[in-house]
Amino acid sequence: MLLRKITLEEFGAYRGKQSLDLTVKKNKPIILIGGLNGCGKTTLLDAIQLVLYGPRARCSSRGNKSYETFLRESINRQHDPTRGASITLEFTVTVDAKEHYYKVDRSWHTSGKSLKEFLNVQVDENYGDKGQATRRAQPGLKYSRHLSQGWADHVEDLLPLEVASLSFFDGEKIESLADPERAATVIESAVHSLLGVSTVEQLRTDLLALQRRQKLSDEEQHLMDNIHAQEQELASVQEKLDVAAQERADRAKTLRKAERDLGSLEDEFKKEGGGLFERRVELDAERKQAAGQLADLRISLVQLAAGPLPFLLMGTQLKELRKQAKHEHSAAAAGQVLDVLTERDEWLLKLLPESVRNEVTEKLDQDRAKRSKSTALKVNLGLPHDALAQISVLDEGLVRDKARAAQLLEQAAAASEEVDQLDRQLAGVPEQSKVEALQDARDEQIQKVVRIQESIARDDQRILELKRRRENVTAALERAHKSFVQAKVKAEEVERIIKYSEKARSTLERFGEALLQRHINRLEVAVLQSFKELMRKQGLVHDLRIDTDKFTLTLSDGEGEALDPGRLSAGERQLLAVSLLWGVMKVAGNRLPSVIDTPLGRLDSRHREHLVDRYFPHASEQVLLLSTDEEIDEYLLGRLKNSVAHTYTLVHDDSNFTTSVVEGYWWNVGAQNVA
Amino acid sequence: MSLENIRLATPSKDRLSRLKHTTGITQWNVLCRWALALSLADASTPLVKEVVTDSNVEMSWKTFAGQHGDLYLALLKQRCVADGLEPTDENVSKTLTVHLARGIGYLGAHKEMTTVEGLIGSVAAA
Repeated sequence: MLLRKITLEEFGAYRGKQSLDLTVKKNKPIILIGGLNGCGKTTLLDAIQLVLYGPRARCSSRGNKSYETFLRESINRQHDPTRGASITLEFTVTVDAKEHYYKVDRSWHTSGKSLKEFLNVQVDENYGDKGQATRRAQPGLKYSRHLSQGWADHVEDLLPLEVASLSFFDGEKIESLADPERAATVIESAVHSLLGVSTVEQLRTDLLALQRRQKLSDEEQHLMDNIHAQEQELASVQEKLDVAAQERADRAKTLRKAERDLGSLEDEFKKEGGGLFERRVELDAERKQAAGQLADLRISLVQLAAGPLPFLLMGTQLKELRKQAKHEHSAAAAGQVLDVLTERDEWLLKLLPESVRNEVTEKLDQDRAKRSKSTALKVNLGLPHDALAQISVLDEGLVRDKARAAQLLEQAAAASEEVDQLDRQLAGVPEQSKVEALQDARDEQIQKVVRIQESIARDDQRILELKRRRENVTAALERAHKSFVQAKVKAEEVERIIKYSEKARSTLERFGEALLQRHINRLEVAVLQSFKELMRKQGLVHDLRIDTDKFTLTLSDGEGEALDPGRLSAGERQLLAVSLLWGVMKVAGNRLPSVIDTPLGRLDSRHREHLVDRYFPHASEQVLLLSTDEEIDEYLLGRLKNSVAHTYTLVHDDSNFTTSVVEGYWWNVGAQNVA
Repeated sequence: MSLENIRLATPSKDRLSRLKHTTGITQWNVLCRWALALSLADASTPLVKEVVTDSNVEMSWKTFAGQHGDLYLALLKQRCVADGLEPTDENVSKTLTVHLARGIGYLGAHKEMTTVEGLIGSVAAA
């Protein structure tokens, strides 16, 4: 990995847009960046980490602040926070002998109370092509949405954070690495992350996870239990079904017997005249009706009797009475005529002459006497003058009543006959007490039959339900068997997986141990060599051991005695730390850029020379040195000059607290490009 | 006239009481009409001439005869004459009493007359 260019915009003390070209040349791996204290050297180191790792970046100025607060405070104080700040880092990565060009742009700005952050990753157009590999990819960049969104994962592939913390280090804090405890963590992370031991470890963990995911025994047990439960259920259902069927058969037998009993009871009942007895109510009702009819007819007859019917008994008397009435009527009429005639005769006689008067008088008297004689009655009953009319009316009434009477009598006779008939039938009905017992027995038997039939219906229902249930349970059992078989198949597969992953894990473990041992050995050699190269006292440290378990560093002197790091001076400890990092980088293959902030503090001139001569030009393919004018001074610059690709100075303007980047170092302004 | 109130003899009343029961005819006057008619129909002269009307059953002529009062009276007068009596009020009254008593006797004596069917059948069956 080689850094190509970094651009800071309104980041920290950097005002406006400040760019640094970080391209190195062959045999000129050093980019020298000068800056006085507080000019922003550490800010630059932070920026590189921030743009790559975002929230995970271990920025020195972040402290315990939240990421958002840190970003907010990182915007240049004189800049409008709503327009925000950004960092852009361009770099190339060689993968499979193919160089890829990346441009990662991280920008953020405030929006009201919230803060918005954007990450924009661009890669060269050939990215992803398997075709021709250009040695130096041209920055024909295009935005990659896929990389932008998954950057946090991708950057781990390019440069793991753990490794970056070794690659980008602050010289002022480096001294602490000489402490065995602190060194142990660095060595451990270096060995694990950078040298690939962690990959082996991860592989083993993954295999274990895979193994654990293959758990089946519980499930299998559950399936077994399920099958057993279903089998028991089936057995119990079958048993119940058998019992029910038996009960059903028994009950059918009982029913047949009950029906036979009922039949014989019916027969007996019939024989005893039970049918007639049962008709009794009907007969009673009929008789009652007939009797009622008869009573009604009698009432009509009684009413009729109150009429003129008795006169029919006196037919002869009535006839005589009629005759008498006629006589009396004609007598009365004659009597009236006689009076009139007497009157008229007197009137006539007066009109007659004397000569004929006597003769006429005699004749008239004779006539009247004759008439008078005809009016005389043998008997005079003094009947009313309308007696004849009354008799006529009576006759008419009698004719009507007689007809009516004849009709009523006929009906009454019929009704009476019916009543008699019914009475005779009723008389034929057997005694209730005689039949009652039989009837009761028969009714009871009927009830019994009905009860048995109901029971049978319930039995049938129950049998039907049980059969349905048996079907369900059978189906469930079959399903359980199937899944058990599947589980069995899977179990074998799982067993195989576990077996082989176990094997693979133990292989990997041995491989990891071997790899670790190999790396540690190489590291021991590299660190010791680095240390010896840098140290002024050549004989002080004779040997260096790294514990494979605890990763602690042990120094030993010429006699093989362990050397306590506490006996080393601060400068020596710093050199030891540098040696450690250098050794790590050597073992890792110098593939990563080294960014070294404030590298030479506390070192004496001899050690500084060693570092400048022996370390910086060989630390890595790309070395960013962030230095004060005291560390890399004019003299050291002269010794370093041949390895320097670019020089920059961070110029701080005290009046407005802003830093700007100027090309050149203090003593070679404008001459940085001199080869 | 003395026909204003007609009182029955105690034996007649007793017999009528039974007849009321057997025939279902609940009115004294209706039964009495039938009894009178039965007696008048018999041309023979009643043997008993004097009847002691001592019961508590009493009715007016109007109640007794109903709407055919004139004809009943005429028939009674006719009977008086036939029996050789002047049809005076007294004789008519006596004739009524005697014939009523005899008729009631006839009613009880004829078994078929003890039911309303028999009673009406005696005049209407023919």
